Amino acid sequence: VIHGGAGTMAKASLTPEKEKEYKAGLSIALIAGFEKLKEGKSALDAVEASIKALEDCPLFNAGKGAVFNAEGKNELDASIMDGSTQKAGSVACVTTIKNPILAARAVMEKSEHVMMISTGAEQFSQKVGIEQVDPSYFYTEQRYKSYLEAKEEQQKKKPLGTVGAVALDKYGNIAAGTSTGGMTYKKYGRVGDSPIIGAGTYANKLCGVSATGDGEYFIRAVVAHDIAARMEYKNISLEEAAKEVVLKKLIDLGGEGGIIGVDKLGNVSQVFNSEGMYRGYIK
Amino acid sequence: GDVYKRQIHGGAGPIVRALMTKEIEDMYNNKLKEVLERGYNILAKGGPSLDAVEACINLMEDTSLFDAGKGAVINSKGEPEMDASIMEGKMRKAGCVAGVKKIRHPISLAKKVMENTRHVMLFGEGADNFGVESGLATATKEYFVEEPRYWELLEKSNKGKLLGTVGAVAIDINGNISAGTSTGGTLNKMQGRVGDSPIIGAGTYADNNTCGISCTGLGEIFIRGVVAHTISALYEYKKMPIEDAAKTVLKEKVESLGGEGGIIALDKDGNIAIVYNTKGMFR
Repeated sequence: VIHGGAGTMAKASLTPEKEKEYKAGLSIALIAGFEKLKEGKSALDAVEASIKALEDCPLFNAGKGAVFNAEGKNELDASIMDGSTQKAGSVACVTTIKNPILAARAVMEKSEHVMMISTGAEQFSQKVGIEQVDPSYFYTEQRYKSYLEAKEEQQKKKPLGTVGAVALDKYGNIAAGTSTGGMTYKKYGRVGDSPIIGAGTYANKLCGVSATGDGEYFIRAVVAHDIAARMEYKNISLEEAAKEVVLKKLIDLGGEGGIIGVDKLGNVSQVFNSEGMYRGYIK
Repeated sequence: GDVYKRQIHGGAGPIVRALMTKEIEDMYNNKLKEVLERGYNILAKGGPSLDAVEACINLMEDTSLFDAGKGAVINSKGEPEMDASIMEGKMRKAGCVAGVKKIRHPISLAKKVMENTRHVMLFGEGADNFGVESGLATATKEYFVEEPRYWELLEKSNKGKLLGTVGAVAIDINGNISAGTSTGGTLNKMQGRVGDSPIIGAGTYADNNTCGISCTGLGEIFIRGVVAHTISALYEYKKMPIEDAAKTVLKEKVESLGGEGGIIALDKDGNIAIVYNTKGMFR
């Protein structure tokens, strides 16, 4: 299951051509992940492949196509988690890494750590062979225009377009991942929920969850993990747990957004409380 | 009766009491007494638990006895990189900072993020800049990295891994719970490495409906286990008493993943739990 962001992407405001482009982007990503699963690769490989495809696609607010911060720069975050071992990796505030999800996985598998930020994360990723790019690589005209508008109004724009994926492989293992450029015109190194294990990403032996929306609320509500905890401790289904958290808890708190999730039986859940989240899944 | 309580901790880990001279042990105990009194005075006057938590942690950040603020350990590049988070249980607002290099009181910076911005997390240089702009006290590297003589002793016995994160949880006269954690991280950590201390749900959590939690230990494990939030989840969904919840999480989420650490917890009825699996946690 993958998603391409909840938030203010009201379907009505998109031309049919644009909508087709988004759907195409999502399809490519879904297929990339599915191919891995068909080859007998792990859920982790599938999640990584799907997110990499979404990061490479300029339409989504992740990797290329990321939004700009208040200084007119792209600052990216990503996290990934392996449900079978509960190992995790995350990077935040990185500016030169072409595919942040690959760096997150490298932190998980090639370091003793779980989370790395900024220059330290960039240097580590370079050392272990993760592709670096000039920061200008991430530029797209659409996002830059948004930045200029936000600058005019001196106003941050709502976060949108974060990407994520969850997968279940033939061995019964679950993985989850999320990647984003954050919020347009964000200042001061603002970080949302995407690189936060338990908030934007979580996976264990029961389920995998990836979230997108108003990051701040997802952090405070520990969304991804709360869904897993409700499933486990209240003995309810993934769908019920997701509805409790997204449609009640988050709304009470005031947060917009949604999640995608998969459980160990292959049940898929896509719950969101905002206008339109681009998403898709293959079984 | 007791309408307000507080708990503080000064780090779990290999601060093996046997290795310490009475003199050093007294220093720690006296400081902790001072810290507890400071917090108690605020609460006794009907002050908010948030202020008590901040004040206690400030005192610990002001002394080089703990790995937080002054006394923060250095990373692989020889610099202090500090993390902190604070959360209040009524509205579940939170503030977190990581990779801070200049601000004397990282917990106060975290509180400013919570109270003066729409955000929850600020990382790196941006966080420092926000602190400076907010008028918080700053300091140079030399201020933070003052090495007390007994740390050399500890360093030799611990092969370079040092713990001494500080935290506090409190409940005030209005029943509002707050929790906070502050650290310099692990000695010699890779530049940019972030542990659990600034992560809501991992090192810090507060919810008036359940409890307040602050943790210390091997950060990576606490992030993967979403430790603080799991305790709250067990308390809420399985109706476990706070001590049982804390013990269960320590066993099933920390020990089982090979981790060491300590947790202080305070539930909405004022019950306190202090659990740890290391040789000595100052509290």
